[in-house]
Amino acid sequence: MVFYAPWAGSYGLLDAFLQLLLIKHPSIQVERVNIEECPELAAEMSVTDIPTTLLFKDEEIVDVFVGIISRKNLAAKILPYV
Amino acid sequence: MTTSEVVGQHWAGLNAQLTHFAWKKRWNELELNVPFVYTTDIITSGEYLRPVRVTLQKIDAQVALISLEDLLDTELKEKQLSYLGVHANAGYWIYNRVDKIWYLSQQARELLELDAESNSRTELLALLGERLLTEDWTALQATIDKALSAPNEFAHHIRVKTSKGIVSLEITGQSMGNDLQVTHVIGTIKAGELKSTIASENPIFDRLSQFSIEQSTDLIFWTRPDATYIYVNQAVVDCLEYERKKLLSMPIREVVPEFTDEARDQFWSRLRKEHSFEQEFSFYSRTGKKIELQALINYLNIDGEEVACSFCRDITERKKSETRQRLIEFTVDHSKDLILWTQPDGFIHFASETFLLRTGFSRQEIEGQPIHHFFQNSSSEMVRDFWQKLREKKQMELETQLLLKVGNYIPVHVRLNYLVYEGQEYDCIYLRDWSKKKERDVLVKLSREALDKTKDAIVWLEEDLTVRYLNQSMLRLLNAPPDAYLGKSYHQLFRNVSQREFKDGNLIDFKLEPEVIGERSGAKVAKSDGGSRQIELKCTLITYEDKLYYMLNGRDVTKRLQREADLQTAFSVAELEKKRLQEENLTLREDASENYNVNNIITVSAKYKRVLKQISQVADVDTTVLITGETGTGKELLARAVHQLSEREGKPMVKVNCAALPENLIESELFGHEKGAFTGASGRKKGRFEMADGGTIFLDEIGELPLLLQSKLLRVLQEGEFERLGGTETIKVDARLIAATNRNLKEMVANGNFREDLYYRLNVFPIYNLPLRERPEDIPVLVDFFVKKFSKQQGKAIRNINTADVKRLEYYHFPGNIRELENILERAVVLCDSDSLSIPLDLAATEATTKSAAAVGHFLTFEEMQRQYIIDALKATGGRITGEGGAGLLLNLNDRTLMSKMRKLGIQKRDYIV
Repeated sequence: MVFYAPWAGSYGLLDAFLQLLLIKHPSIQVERVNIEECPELAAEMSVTDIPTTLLFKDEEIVDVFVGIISRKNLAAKILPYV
Repeated sequence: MTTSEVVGQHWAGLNAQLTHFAWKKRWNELELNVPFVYTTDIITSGEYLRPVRVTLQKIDAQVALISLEDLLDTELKEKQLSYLGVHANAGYWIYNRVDKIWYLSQQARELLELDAESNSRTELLALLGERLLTEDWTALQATIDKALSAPNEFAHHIRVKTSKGIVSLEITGQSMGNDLQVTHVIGTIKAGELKSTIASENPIFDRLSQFSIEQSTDLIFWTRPDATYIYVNQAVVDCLEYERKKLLSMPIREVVPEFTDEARDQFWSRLRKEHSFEQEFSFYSRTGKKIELQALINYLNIDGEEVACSFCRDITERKKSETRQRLIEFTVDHSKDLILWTQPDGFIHFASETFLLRTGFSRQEIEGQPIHHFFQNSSSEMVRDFWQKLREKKQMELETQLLLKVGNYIPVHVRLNYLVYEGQEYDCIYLRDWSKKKERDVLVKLSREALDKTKDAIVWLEEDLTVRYLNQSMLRLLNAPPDAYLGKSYHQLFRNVSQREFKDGNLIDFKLEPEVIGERSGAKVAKSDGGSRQIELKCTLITYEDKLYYMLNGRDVTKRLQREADLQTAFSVAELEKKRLQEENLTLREDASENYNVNNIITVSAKYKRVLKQISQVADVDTTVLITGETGTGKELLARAVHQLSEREGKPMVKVNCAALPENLIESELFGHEKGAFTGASGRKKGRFEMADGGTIFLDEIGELPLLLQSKLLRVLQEGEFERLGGTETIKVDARLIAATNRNLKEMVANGNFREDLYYRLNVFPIYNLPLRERPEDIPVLVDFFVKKFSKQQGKAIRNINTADVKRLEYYHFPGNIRELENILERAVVLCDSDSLSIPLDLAATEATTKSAAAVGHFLTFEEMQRQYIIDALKATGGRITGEGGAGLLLNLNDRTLMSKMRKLGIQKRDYIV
């Protein structure tokens, strides 16, 4: 689940990496949440910075990271849960 | 008188001293039948008085017998004798042997100082026994007994103790009696003469006596109570070296200084009491020589004159001898050495006081004991052996252990001395307690060991700076034998060290130069390692027994100095490294600031997102990236984004602004330099490429890189290696290159200002960074972002932003791009004093917006143009829309049409109300 804002340039980069990852691992589900449209959810999830990415596994949050990271690091964070 | 003159006369009348009344009384006493005897004077016929002794005795009641004894002759004789005695200065005496009565005349009594009344034989004899000197009384008694036994005549000198002292009297005597016996001895007593009666009769004896006294070797002199001489014999004259006449005129004190008045009085008091005693005196001759005399002094009283007769013997030599003897004994007894005398019998004959004191034995426990009892591991056989050897050698020395009374032994040094005295053999043994010496020996030995074992080099110099001692450590440093320098001047040891440096507390540094083989003071010296050594010694002045010594101790500080030098070098390197790291830290801090945080890229522009997509595509490959674009577009931000999203994001990204560095420092900055590569290159320095090894190097403004360095850069890009400035070592680096420029490199290549091969090497993945004007749709979100940022920084709460201002910004061409926008907004926030922010944009900038937009060929959309035109018209009419002087009129539009367009284009009052 990626919390973003349309104006966040780094979200674009992150999304680009996610897209690549999804190609190889289609089982990964990505939910994108616009914090301007869903401020309550953002508040509920205690999201203050964007992009903030929450990793869920079996409906439980297993990892959270803020900002953009390299593709390699992104894969390293997500793939163990795939 | 006739009979008739006497018979019938009253007796009282005859008795010149008797009265009638007294006669009557006397007659009454006669009645008691008590004879009465008295002396009186009776009157003679010539009316003269005759002394008589009257004896009255009663015959019967009527008659008394009167017997008269004529006393006239007796008195006369007695008075005649007394008269003669006074004028002859002699008394007389009579001893009536028959009646055993002594009679002494008044004169005699006076001479003997006897009471007038005592005349009984017993009393007189007792008195005479007390008064006469014993020997004289004994002799006198014998003489008188002899005179009583047979007619005899004698003359005798006696000495009598009187109140005036002892006086000499002459007593004569003669026997008297009948043919059958001596009944009386009579004689005279008179003051005695010094001369012997025999001498007066023998002139030859006088002369011989005089000669004997005069020439006697004994010193004989007579002195008076006033301490003057009456007589001195020749021996006195010779001894004291004065003329006789001079001596006789001198008081004794001149030759016997101790004979003061007080001493004189004490002397005479004793002499008068004892009559004879011995005493020693110190006389001084004329030349000052001291003479010790032992004197026998006798008291004489001649004709009332007291004389001290002294017989003296010169004991000077004897005294000296005695003194010498005492000194010798004292020396022996108090010598530091313990002294024993033994003889061949093996027994101790003498032990000095010091020996007894040290050992604790008493004299009785030592003297007379076998000597071997007091020495450890000794025996009588050994003592005999020693004697044999001693007789040959006369002197021997050894060390042994001496027994103390407490039971333990002490080490002693023994000197045996053989001598013969008065035909007897003696061994005079001197023992010296070596207990303390042994302790000192141990201390010395330990000190010596400590000196030799210590790592410190130790040198002792004498006062004249000659070498006295070198310890083992110093000898090892010098590689010299122990005696190589002893006694030699310090110069030979400490070359180039001035004498002035030898001061207490001073540190002396000197260098031991390497020598292969050389002669030094006659000793061959070779250094083991061939290298010079720096020696540091501390000088200490020591005074011992009035002699000055220099003690130098220290170490070979070569290694220490080397370490210090190395430390200093390392420190310098560390300082440089620190500086570099500080710079890098600063750089990294700058990098880490929000300005260059990829997460802060704000955009809604589809065009810019395409640029960002390029970033994501190239980030995690090592491809060289060339970012182009105008100043302030955020090329560095993109470069950091590339690095941050790459696999090198854990390593540093090193930025080099090629435009900011002086041309002569760029190479050093990029590639580093070696120590001494140029003036000021005090140490080796790593370049940016080295620092970026494993990471990313960002060359900003690469278009400013000098042509000379472009080839070097090319080599790095192609081969990944380079040499530091001034160095020969080839260094390989693995650094990803990102370059940025606002210049047209292609043009520069065409102009020859940029290497073509480098251009193509760099232009592997070009990314064109959009200027802000090409994405005006990002301006609102950027404004929002920056206003929030600066509001937070400045503590302001801004809730509203003037949209018109924002709109105006969208039409501004921003030659400075993002940076300019940021500055405008920061300034606006500073100026804002309410929660509504206005963004002032100066008129020139506004004009430039339009002009420059056209100048650069930037076209607004039709709607944008309309909108802006209407706003300008409204501003020109002061916000009036309709009616006279309204914008409708100005634009030649119906009021309703204008208002409709305004609604459609979203023109608000705040857009045109200034």
